[in-house]
Amino acid sequence: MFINRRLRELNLKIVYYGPALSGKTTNLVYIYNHTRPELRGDLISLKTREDRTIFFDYLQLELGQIKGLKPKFNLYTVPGQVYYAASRKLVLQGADGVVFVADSQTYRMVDNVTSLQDMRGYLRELGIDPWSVPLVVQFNKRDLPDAAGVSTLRSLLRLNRSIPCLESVATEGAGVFDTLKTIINLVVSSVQKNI
Amino acid sequence: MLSPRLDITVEQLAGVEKCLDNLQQETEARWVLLTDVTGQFIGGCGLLCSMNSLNVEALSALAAGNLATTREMARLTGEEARFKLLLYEGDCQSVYLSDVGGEFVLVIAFDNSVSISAVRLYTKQTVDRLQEILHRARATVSPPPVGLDEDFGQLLASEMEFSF
Amino acid sequence: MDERLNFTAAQQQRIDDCLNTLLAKTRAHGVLLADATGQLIGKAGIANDRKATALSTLSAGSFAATSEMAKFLGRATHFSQHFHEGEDYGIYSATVNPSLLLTVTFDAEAKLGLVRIFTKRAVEELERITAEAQENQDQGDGIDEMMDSEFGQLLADELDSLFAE
Repeated sequence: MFINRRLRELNLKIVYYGPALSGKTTNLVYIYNHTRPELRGDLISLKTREDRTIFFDYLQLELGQIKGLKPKFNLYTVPGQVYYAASRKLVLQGADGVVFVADSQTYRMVDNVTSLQDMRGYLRELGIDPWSVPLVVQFNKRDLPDAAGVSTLRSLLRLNRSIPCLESVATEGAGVFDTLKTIINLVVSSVQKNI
Repeated sequence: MLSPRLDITVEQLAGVEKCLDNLQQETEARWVLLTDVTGQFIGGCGLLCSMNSLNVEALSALAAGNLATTREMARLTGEEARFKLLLYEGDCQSVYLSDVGGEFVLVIAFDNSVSISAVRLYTKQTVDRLQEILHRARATVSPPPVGLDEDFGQLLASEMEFSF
Repeated sequence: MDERLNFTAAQQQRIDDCLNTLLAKTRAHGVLLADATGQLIGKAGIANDRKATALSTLSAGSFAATSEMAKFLGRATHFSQHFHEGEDYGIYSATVNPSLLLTVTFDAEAKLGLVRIFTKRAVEELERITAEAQENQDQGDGIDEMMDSEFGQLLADELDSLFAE
């Protein structure tokens, strides 16, 4: 978080985290394509020629002034592939909130669990209490035949009731904005508590 | 799905490693590393040899991530070509990154007592030589590596079953 | 992450002045100050907000990646100077404390030697301001009080305006 008191801007950082190919970049691309152009910056993607994220994607959204303060949201994704572990940790630095994008398909469950555990480990290494960071979990790819049930996903990922979980089909945009709104609201109420 | 396969023959890899060794000795670098632009480690020498392989992989991924970042910076600042020089200077040591034909990243880490012009000169020569070798590697169609047949997948699957 | 910098409006003004001076002295294209997470703290010369934001994000990304590489070198914890040079364009960055990054973009009009000297001076001034900011208590500008529950409600409403139909 950074508040520019001269320009009266509130800057917040939200990271989309999750296993490889779970749909993190797809979320950002959908948001980019469906937000009013005057409210968003360019979508920056550091990716390989095969469209795999190598470091991060980045998109800035800004809202009009609210009570004289202009909120700006910096959205990042992490690279999902296993060997970019070091880069993932870097992107988590300074995160005000995290969206964990899980792949609903049954055969990806181990990847989801490992990725969530790793994320909590990295947050600890960065000196952040993983249980205090606002977290929203998105169960993506609900349209696929092999998608596990929501309660199964919740219990496998050991998500307690206080963690909001949303279903999505990011390729079509279903659930994408709801996820974004949920994390933004969580982040802002957490900032209010800590300020 | 993965990056276009770079299939380097044993001889070519030996050539690459020789290049890196020469560079390290000529510049008295602490270590030299070559990775492809997706962060896959290809070869290295110097202190790298005594490093944990996970750290070497991390270094490769970070170098590739940094190269991608600087390319985007170059694009944003209106630089058509990529940056020709990427140098990161610390109190005692520095790291110099070179783009090798847009496909690979050469990283050299050295003490600040070494002259940067020497590093630049030898690196330039190495980049040229590497490009030649790696260009040939792309042109050759090699037979599938020994052992990587149908059984391999099955053996791997059962091995994983056993390991986790 | 909890060492969040909290500049007063007056300190923010001094930062902006410092960046403008650096820009003028070096005849650079633009000057940016960002924190290690990529948050843009101040800028001079770059009129396009989006470009400035994107550049600060990228320079922070590069800073983070190379700092992590530095750890494998032994003693160094980060690289305090970054040189990115193209044919006739360059980007030079220097660290302010270890947590902020001051970045100068320039073309052939500017001399790298001068850029380095004036950047060093700017870094010293920015370190003074940052040290003062660490002692800031209540800002008295009402921003903290503004973030009340009503703010959250208004924000939730405003969010809907983000999405194009």
